[in-house]
Amino acid sequence: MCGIIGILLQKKGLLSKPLGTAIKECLKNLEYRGYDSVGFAILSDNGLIIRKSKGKIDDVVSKLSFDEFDGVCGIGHTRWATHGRPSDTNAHPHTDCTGKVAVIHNGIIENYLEIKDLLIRRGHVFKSETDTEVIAHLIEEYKKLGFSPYDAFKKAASLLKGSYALSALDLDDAGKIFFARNTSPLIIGLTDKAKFLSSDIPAFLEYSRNIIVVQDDEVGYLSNDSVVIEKLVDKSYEFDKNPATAEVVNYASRIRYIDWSPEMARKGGYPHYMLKEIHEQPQAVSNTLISLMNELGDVIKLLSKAERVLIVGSGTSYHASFIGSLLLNELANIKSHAIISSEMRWFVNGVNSEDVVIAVSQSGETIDTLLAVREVKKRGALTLALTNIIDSALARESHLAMYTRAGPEIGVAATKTYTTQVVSLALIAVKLAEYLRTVPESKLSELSTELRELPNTLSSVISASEPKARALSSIVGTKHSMYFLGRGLGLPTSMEGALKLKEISYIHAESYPAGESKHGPIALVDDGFPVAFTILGDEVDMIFSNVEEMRARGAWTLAVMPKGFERISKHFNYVFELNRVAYELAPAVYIAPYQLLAYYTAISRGFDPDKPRNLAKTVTVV
Amino acid sequence: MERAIVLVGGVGSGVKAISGGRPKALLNVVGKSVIERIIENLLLCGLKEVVLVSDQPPLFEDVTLKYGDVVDVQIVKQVGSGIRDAILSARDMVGKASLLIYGDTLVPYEAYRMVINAYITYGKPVILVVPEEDVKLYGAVSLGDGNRVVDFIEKPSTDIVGAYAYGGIAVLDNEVVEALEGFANVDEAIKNYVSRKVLKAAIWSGWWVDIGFPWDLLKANYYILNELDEVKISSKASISPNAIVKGPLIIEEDVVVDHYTVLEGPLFIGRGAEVNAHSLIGKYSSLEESTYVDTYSEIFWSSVQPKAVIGRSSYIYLSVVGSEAEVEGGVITSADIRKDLIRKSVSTKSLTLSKSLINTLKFGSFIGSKSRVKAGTVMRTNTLS
Repeated sequence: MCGIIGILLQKKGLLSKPLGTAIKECLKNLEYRGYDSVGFAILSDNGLIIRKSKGKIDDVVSKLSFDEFDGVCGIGHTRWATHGRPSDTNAHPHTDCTGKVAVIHNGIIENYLEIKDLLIRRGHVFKSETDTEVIAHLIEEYKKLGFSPYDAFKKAASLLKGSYALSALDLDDAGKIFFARNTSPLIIGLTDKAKFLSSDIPAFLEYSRNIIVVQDDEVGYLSNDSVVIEKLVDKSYEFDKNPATAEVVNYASRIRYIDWSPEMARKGGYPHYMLKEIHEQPQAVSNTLISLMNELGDVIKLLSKAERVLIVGSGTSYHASFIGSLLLNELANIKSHAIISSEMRWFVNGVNSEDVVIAVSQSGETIDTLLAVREVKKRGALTLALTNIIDSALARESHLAMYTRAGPEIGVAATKTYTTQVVSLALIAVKLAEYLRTVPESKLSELSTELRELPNTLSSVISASEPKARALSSIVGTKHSMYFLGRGLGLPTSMEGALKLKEISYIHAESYPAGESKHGPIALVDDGFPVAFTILGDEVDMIFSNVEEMRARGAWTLAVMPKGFERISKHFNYVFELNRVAYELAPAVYIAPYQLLAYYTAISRGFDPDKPRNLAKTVTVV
Repeated sequence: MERAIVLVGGVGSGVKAISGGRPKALLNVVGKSVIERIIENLLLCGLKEVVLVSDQPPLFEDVTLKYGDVVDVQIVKQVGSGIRDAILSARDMVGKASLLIYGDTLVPYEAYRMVINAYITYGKPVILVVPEEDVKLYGAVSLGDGNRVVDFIEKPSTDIVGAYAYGGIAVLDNEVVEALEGFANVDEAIKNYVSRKVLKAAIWSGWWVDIGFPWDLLKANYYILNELDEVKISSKASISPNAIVKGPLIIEEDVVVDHYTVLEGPLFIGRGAEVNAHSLIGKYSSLEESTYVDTYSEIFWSSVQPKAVIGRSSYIYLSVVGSEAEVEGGVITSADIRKDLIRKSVSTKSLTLSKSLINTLKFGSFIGSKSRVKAGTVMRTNTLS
């Protein structure tokens, strides 16, 4: 995701602040869509001014002095890197060879390589690694062929395959902001003083509450006296000299009035970010699998030579690390341990250059994990970062970086970033097992098939669990304390389940290895004490005696387990019976009922799950 | 979005006895009818026009008058019966992207906003769905990628795994309405539509009550009274100086609360109601307007509809008393613990409400509108008089 903004003023100074400041404020509202690079283009009295840089919005705006630039028309962009790492050159806006056209874009142009080749053959010089830059050069190319600036823009848009919301300024047609949309969101805001263009409504809600949602395949422009919207028809994707065909759209009936707060508008069809992010997991897992499949070559080679693989992480990332270490042991026969980042310093004396350390952190800025990486590097270990933020501190400081593609996560309680971490580590273990030939071919093909199916499985498990979780929350919400028990991969899954419950619904929750529960914890269990069991499949018979022990003391028992074990499932007070998934991959799916249970329990107790007390999304203090 | 269409037709067989055959939307919940609560939610969302679709328009004239100053309310006569016919009765307006609301659905106004907001964000028609275990009572919606609706069954006959309940709120467009016109029933029309086009679901996680059965009124009482955070007593109410009043509660004008009465909120007593000496009105009770409670009576978590009378020394617990019903003296509604139900873990399906009552699964009796319960009757659990 990226965020885009365009502002066109009736005349300079109408917002009672410089245009650069207004762009900055709008971009700040779009920060949740991306924050690795920022840039703007403003049409001023002295021509087109473009400023862009890698970094967080707050840092970049002061570095580039956004506040000092004024004009009547400008566009701005906040980036979440997909093609090309975060850097000053890869930041938007992108320009053509003449420097007259500036383009910003959100989405992915699928046929950009083809277009780029064609344009390079015609003499265009590219400055960045992005897919976006081709659009600027395409416009330039068609202008050379005699198209008017808007017709050239329209033609360029008609040639793009993939998803895009884009906007452009052209010095040859100063005073207009061009725009086009396919799949990625784009909204127009209207007032009598100014017109706006943005990836979402909250970006300009401070100024304008009358909006038009731009639809797929629509192109158009904002100008001083009008808004023109046309719909592209009969897109041929041919690089010919015919103008793009488009029909003028009458949008009068599409103007809507928005009367609510910006916070609400960003959540789409959900009451909270956390629920939205839980539901985004299948897509996040799918994106992560697709991108990692092709990026793991070096990682696998590196890990295959390791004497030992340590995986470090904090909080939720530690639970993913734990799963990763179990899978490396089990599938690839590699010595592996998961260690909590803040505890790493007590292990470093045993670390040497034979070790590889995988550091897991959603933000890539978690200070405990960064410190652990610095410590082990000093002792010669090779380090691998697994993070959701491209080019974050952890990625920069590690020898190799891998990325989960969960997209920005706003809810403080990690959900989709956890599942994508688990899936990434599982994929590594499977690939490594394949490389080292440590598991039979038949098992490998089963795991590969199930990995591909994982997004679908997760999606149906979320749907099947949500009504149950909501119903159950009214019972769990009355308890003061709860145990989560599991064996093998069920243990880290239980730990994550307990963490979710405690961090957003403030119910004391503790996780134990099921076999360990009789060595102490069971003393607390009495009539109605809730105990959840995570059963992934392979360990079902082993765990049953632990279930009996708890039931004998009057515990209220809950199970998250696969379908098809009726002889066991009938003994629980409540069961989430889920689709069967290979034991090795089940942690990525079987966490969903616990996430939903925690969410709905927080709701039933009247807490805001997006803003748990005392917690911050990224922990940058030791 | 400026306009909402509220479907208030039909009687609702599940609550017919309580409502006396009047539309469900006119049942009272904490001092306001369901339709009044819906209109007030719409006002909070900034909507300016409300269209009621009813098969009995004259019954809604009072509502039109009450809100006429603040919102443009009009009534359209429903032609035919059922949801499809009701929607088609206002087809032109539904087709122009208005908020469509079932008149028996109570939900906080934020849910309305979420649906409108989702419609604007996605630029596609949107329906509200609620994660409910027993979709049989509502309508079943199955979701696919990106919360796209992939199937809709208006009246499911069996449980459907992974289905959400239809939440009774939607923004449709002309093409959905055309699909409805083209097919004889809602299911096929929606199936046809979603096979060609995108229909999005917005998931609501807060409270939501579909008034289908009498106990749904008790749920609604609970949720609405739980949000009460003040003591509000009309200056025109007459409260005995030795009555014990514990909030939060609302007492409207012309209410009389007699000596030694105990009121323990959250509760509501509507205008013109009278509570006589030594009575106890407990949590989550709602005595609607012009009700009468005689001496030494006890009422707890019950809905007493307008003009109902509770005789001396009666005990009304987890019950609904229909409008103008007469409960004579000494009537006991017995709300036994239904252990048989708990065993089957139905506990999560019906009255899973307050903390103290969660596992008890009790309910009392449902006394029909204008009916009379003889003095001294002991009503077993779940009696419908």
